Amino acid sequence: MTDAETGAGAFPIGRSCPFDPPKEYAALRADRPITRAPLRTGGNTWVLTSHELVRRILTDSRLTAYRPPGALRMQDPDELPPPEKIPLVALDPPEHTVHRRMVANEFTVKRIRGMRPFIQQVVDNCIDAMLANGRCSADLFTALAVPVPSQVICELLGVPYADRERFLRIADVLVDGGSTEQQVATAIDELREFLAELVAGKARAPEQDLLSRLIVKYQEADTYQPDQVISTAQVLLNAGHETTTSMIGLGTLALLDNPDQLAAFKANPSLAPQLVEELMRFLTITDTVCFRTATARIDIGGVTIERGDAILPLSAAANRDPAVYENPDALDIHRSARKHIAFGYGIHQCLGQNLARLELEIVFTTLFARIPDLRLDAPLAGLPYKSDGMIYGVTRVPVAW
Amino acid sequence: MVSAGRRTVRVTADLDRCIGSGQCVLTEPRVFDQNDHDGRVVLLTDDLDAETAPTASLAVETCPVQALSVVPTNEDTTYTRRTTERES
Repeated sequence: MTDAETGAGAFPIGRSCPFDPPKEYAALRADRPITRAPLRTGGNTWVLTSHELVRRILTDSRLTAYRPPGALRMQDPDELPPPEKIPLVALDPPEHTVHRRMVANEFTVKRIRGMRPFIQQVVDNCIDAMLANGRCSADLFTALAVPVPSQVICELLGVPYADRERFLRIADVLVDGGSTEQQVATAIDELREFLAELVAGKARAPEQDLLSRLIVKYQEADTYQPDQVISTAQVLLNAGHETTTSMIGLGTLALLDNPDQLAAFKANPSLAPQLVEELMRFLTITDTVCFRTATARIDIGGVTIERGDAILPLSAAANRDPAVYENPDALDIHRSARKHIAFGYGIHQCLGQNLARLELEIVFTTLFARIPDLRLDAPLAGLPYKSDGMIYGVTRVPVAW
Repeated sequence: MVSAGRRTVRVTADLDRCIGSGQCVLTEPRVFDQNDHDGRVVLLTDDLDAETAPTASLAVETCPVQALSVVPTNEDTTYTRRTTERES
């Protein structure tokens, strides 16, 4: 196990710059866009860095998305647990297709746009509280980045108003950079218990929310399993909280660090959708989440991937590919960033992406409309960037106005 | 350039591949919609014109599961499809 091939060390590689992917990516993408490299946790993996190869591998059906909780790779494709024990994000066809289709209609463009008034209200409330704190300064992480997505998820899942504070308290521990392992483990247990109660309540008396509708759909198909729905609810929370929180924090920093881009956006707020797409591409906080394991031999990019090989497509590398994006390392809100892979690619592409887009459009539009002189209140380089988990982020964003 | 009144390119969708991501809708809502049952694509028209053909082609490229294609309907098509998107 050496790093002789890549010269890059073991993967995943942490970031050393607030916004850019690890500097090793560019050389790999130019010389060896598919190559073998050691994994930090042991063993080796294929690492893919070009836009073309990343998209191609993620649409190959000879992959499993499963990996044991906490692990970076699946050891043996013959040892998959039974499908009913696997959460949606790690599940393969045909079961994946069935369960994703049960919930996909909740995330259509049309349905998600219906949440606009609620999201706008949540964002307005957060900014009202910031402006009223009497200090002309705040930590945007706690004031906006954390509460917006978690309250949106509350609404989506149909958490009763009386229970939202308890839910938010538990959810916050999971995204808090200062939480200890023990605190996180406790929060995970509490969350599971909370969701189990929630699901049981809605199975008894369905209401007007995603969970109720999902339960009814399964009941009508005579395939209702409470654990299935609880697992999906967990996936929605896990996948939709920390990610959006990171994008709000890092996106604000990126805009404050690129004043020309920010000025262009403030002058023309209708650029919001393009702005969000470009921030997604530029930041690619989900760089290393698309881990796969080959279930059969795959010939691709001049190499042969063997059954059982680990595969790590690096979407942050793909999103800075000069073959696709001119001047890829620049934040340019006027470019068309539509083919980025920040939401993934293939059958597991982010289920909540349209919701994420809407949340971010509303957050950035409202934040800079209501606090146009927002500025960073601490050096960019010294902030606590979170590079050791699956999702890149920043856990303190001191701002002033 | 499309000759008026003559269908030269059309769009097709593979519903088995479709995962209901809605990226086509974001790209060209005049051509693509989603059903309310499982979110899969609904073609509002399969007939493309000079305005919608380029955006439909972008939708083909952004579909995460390659469920869409734009195909010529005539041998002697006069429509030249733009195949490169300049990203800047």
